[in-house]
Amino acid sequence: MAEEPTHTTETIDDGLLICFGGEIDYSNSPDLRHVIHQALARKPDRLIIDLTGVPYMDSSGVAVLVEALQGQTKNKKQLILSNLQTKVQGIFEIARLDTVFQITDDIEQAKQIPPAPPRK
Amino acid sequence: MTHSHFEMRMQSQPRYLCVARAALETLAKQYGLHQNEVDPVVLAVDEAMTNIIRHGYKDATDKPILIRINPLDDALGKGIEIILEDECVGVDLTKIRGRDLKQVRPGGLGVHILYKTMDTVEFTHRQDAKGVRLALRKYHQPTAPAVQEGS
Repeated sequence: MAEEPTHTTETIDDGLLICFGGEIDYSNSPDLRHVIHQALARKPDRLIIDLTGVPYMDSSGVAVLVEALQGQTKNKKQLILSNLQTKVQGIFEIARLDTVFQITDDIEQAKQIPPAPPRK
Repeated sequence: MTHSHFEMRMQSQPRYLCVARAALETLAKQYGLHQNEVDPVVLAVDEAMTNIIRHGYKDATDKPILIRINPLDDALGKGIEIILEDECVGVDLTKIRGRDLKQVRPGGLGVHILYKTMDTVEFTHRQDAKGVRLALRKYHQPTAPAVQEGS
């Protein structure tokens, strides 16, 4: 079975960095959701989700990331995805979400993106 | 009776999705699809099985899903055919359609992915009226550029 996705959560200057690992499908996307919800509860200004270690993701995983994006956007905060692997990039393109998310080639680039405008 | 080249019968447990994906990926390569054609096929079948589990069986984990896989070699070329059969009754096939992607919201992408990635997608009721039959076909494009090993 697809194992529970591994993850590490790290504090960065203005937020959090979560690095996931493993294939993500309907069997374990609830684990992804749980980890991300925990991170969102800490209200990070910048949430970077690194997917270097995720070779495959189906639409149930993508749905979790869309939820997270909506949560961050609503609070005028940032969500940035980094290091999408070929198959993961593929589903983002098919779902036309590659232009909706901020996506960077690596974590350092994600840290350099200017912060979201202050909340009015 | 014509037998399929390859058949899998699994319970509707999400933990078996990765097993089906692995078998399908191997077969699709054997049938001559390039890796960049294989990946969308595997994704499409994963999405179709997930839809059966989630929407058809309402996440019940003890229901059957039959997967039959055949090589294609016909007027349209060589490729792969995947047939999924379930026991979901009362499904209105006219309501199975992708959603408008202009709405950025979680969920509802599975059917869109099927139609976007496969050459043919056919939902029908099974002949015995005990469920739904989904036939997916993907043909190899000789001009499809090969991708690097391991991608």
